[in-house]
Amino acid sequence: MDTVLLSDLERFYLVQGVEVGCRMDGRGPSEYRPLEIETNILSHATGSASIRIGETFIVCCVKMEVGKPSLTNTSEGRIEINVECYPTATHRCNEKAASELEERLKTTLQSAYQLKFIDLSPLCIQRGRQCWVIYIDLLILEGAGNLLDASSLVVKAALLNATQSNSLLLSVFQNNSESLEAGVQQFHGDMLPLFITVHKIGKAYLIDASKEEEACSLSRLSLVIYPDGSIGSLEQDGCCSCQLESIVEMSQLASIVGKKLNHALVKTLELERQLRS
Amino acid sequence: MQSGCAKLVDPIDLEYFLPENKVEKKAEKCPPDIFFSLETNPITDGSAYIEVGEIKVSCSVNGPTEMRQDSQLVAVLKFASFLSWLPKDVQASIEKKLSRLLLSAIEPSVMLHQFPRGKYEIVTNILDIPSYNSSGLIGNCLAAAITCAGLALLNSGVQMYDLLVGLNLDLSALGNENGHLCVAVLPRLRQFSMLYAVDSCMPNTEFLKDSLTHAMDNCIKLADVIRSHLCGQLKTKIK
Repeated sequence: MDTVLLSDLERFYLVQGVEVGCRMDGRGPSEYRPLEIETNILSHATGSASIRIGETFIVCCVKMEVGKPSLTNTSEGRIEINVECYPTATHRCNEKAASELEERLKTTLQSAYQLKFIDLSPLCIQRGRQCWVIYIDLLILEGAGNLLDASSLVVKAALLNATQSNSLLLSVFQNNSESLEAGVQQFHGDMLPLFITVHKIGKAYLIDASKEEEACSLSRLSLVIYPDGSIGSLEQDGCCSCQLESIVEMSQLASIVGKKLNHALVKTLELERQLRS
Repeated sequence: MQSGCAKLVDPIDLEYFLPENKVEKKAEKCPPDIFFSLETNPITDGSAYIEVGEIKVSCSVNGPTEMRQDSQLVAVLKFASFLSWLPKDVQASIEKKLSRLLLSAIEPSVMLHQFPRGKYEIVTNILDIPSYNSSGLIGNCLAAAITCAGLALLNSGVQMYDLLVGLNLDLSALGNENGHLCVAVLPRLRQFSMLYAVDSCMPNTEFLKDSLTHAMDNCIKLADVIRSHLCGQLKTKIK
């Protein structure tokens, strides 16, 4: 992984501070850095958004075009996610680290958008011949840690921005309660995935790790949290293994923070729409 | 002038012949039936071959060699070239992802401080996969590769904290509608070194806790079977 170089004293200072409950910038364990989201920043796109978490800066653009469906799902549309990373956004400032980061983010986000909650059959124009293709392009301009959470947040904001101007996308990403059976739980809102990454540093668990905290992280659990609190895709990796209790505590922390973040995002976009009109 | 041209009354579109994406629901045994053998490749330092259900995996370990610029552990997972079940670019992308997950599964189980400036290369080949298409196929391949890599590392004599065991748990046995959870477990330490779930949706954290407990129990059974067979092979070799 692309991490910064830290001396042993810096690492010790950071780990001790995190275990006491004080981070280097004064945040608590479940607090985000200052978060700025802006939508409708590109005029030629169906939906667009940009996000800043601390010094991380990512731009997302959503475009819809008519294309051919895939051979395995002939009666559905497609979602194609492409990630472009500037070499200066990585620590080593070279093309190899940037392409590794691109590939990793692309596969993780692509797998999270292949669930059954997203019904792509309204995007079919003619079965086997033509369908709508949603192209999601991510541009990572500055990387200061927590790129997966920032990427999923900006993709969700861009798609929600696209649903405001496109009624076809509204039927894909917004679940209607009339179309569900009576026994199924009623969803009022979107079911777009949102990644929350919890890092284990020493004996503490952190949300929204910065670059230095990612370098000191022993293990990392990334979960998709839906707005109703359910857990989707999950991935745990790192250089150390975890006990069962650690994973349960990490997932509980991610679930609490994920519900709040989903709610805050929808509320913020609603306020932005009211201010613009 | 056209003569003798017979038009079709009801033309058939060519898309009629495109197959629908059929997913067979087959009952998976948990823990699965396995067959393994060690030292299948004598020119390498450690090698293993494993069959988990219908998945066949072979793994080779070379090391410790002197490392120059890469890291201490290099893990490569590849599908054999005669398995043409996906387009090439999709298969290459899946191979990269599974290689990264395999490396993160192996890393906590190896004592890296015992060979400073040394490098171990782990090359894993998926030789056969089931003919039916299921949603848990990638997780099954990853779990078989993790177990095979653990056995190959054991055969190469590298110092490890525990035997590494991989399992792909079918969540429909726990009451959920569909989904799989792939775990890599150090069974004696009761620790998870890798988690991977991509087609599942768990309602809350309690379900995740039950799934992990169930996965740990099954991995302990699988590790006991492997360990007893390893002891049996060792006794046979001594006699």
